[in-house]
Amino acid sequence: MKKLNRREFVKLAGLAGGYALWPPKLGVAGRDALWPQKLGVVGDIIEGITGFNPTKPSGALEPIPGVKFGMVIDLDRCIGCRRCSYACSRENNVPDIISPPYITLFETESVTGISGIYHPTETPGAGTTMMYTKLRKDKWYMPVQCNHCDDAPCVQVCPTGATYKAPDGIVMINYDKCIGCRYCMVACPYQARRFNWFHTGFTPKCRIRIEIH
Amino acid sequence: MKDAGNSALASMKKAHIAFYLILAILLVLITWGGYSWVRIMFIDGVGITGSSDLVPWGIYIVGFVFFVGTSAGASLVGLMIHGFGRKDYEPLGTRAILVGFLSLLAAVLFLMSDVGNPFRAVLLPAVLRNPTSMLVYTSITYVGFAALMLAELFFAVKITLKGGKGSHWDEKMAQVLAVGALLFALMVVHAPHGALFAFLKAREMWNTPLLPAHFVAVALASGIAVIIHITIVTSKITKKEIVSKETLSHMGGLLAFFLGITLFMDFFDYLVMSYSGKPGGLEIWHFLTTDFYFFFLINTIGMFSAMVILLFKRGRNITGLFIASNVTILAILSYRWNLIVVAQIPPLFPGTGNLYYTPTVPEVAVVVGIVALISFLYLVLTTVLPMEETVQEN
Repeated sequence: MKKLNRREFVKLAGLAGGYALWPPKLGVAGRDALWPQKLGVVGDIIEGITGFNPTKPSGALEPIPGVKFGMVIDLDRCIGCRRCSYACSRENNVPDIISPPYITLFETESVTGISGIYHPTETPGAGTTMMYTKLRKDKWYMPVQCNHCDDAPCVQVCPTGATYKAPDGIVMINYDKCIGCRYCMVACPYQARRFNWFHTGFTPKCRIRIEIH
Repeated sequence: MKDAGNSALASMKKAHIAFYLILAILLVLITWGGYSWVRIMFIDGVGITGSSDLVPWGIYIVGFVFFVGTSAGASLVGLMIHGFGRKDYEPLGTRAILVGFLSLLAAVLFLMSDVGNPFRAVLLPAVLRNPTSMLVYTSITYVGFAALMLAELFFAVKITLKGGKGSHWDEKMAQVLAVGALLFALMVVHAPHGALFAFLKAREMWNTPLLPAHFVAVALASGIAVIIHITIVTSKITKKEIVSKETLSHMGGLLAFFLGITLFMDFFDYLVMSYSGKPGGLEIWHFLTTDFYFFFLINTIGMFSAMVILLFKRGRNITGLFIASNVTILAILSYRWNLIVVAQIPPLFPGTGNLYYTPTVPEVAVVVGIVALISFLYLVLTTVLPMEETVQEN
């Protein structure tokens, strides 16, 4: 093997260090360009073990140009039935065994303003006796969920770019990139990120656009 | 190279029977930890740990933060030898680098146990990179720091094998790497490691500009405490003085200095918070001293008493140093627990009550397994590699 002299060694070390600290380009497309396209079998093996291939589409439909989504909840009409929580956890594969369930519902005394998590033992769903009217007239209910923040802390901290802000305003997640570090969960001020503790090891979340299409 | 291999085998054969017994016990613990890791990752899921949706980070992150901190000891010993030219530290050089490298290995293993997809997480420093996430930069620097320490270890061993006097190129490389590793450790590893938490504006206890500087001071204190502990224990077991009493006393002085800086920062943090009446910041201090006073007391009283012992020349004898280093390790473990777990306990919404976190048995098994693994590697490598342990003539 040819021995490196000092000059060559410094050059090589500089190149390696430069790659390590080279700031990746912003945007999903730019980041994907870093992935060596012609890895062939090696790339297949890496994908087989890690399930990761950035050239694969995220599974989400493309955003419609000129459309900006938002979600509004009319708290005057919320009766605390937790159907939204039930539907969301099933649609997005969020386990509801680890309390409190997602979407978290807060119950507030209308007079004193004292609030707490509303989590009765009876779970709404098929075969339950849950009523579709507000049972307690003196209570107010407030669901707390992902607000798809404009300056979302979870997007900022996600190391792999799995959680990202789409041009149509939705905070999306690409499950093929999530490593399950839960950095987004500690960063979220609404505690609105959940983890799939028992199956996938991802942090599932609502991706409004997919449900709408 | 062949001679080195033979001498390594010979030193393994010479070892006492108790040494093999300890290795066997460690192997059992590693197997227990490994089995629990497989159970958590592939069979039952991360759900069998004590973490939950509202307290997502638990004892693994405590271990991760603690061991990244202790890796600073290697850099400090390197600085003493090559930066300040303290020849009396030289017998410790290789051992300190080894401790630093294994600490970093433990930290990475803790991180790999915490994430939901460890195999994918391995790709983090190379491919998956979001430029606004601090975790990306810290993961790159861990790889860089580990590479620097491996290179340091290579040259240190090479120089020792040549009878303590390497070629000009080897000596120069060892020096450049040692000074480089220290600068790298402080500026690129430990301070950004604090920023990893300080950037989270949702968490009052973490979101302070003081945290990166605090992390550097605590890392240096825990690093030097671990080196003191290991030096004293090794001297007792091998009945050989690795470094002189004066050198140990000097290390004690360094430890007191870093503990002093840490306590100074804590004191002024509290003073500024209470004087300016910043509600969130002050609440955290009160929170620490009321509901979770136990770990807070171990943390502050431990650091303070260790510093007081070490401030006096008489306290820096072998017994005093041994007590102070162990108390420091315990105090810093408590500090890390407070920082990671207790910081997540205050509710983010009013009226929801304090949250809770208790580690489960499989989770503790993984922690025990990782600590056993690095202890195993440490014992084998210190036996096999030449450690250059002779007291310098003063």
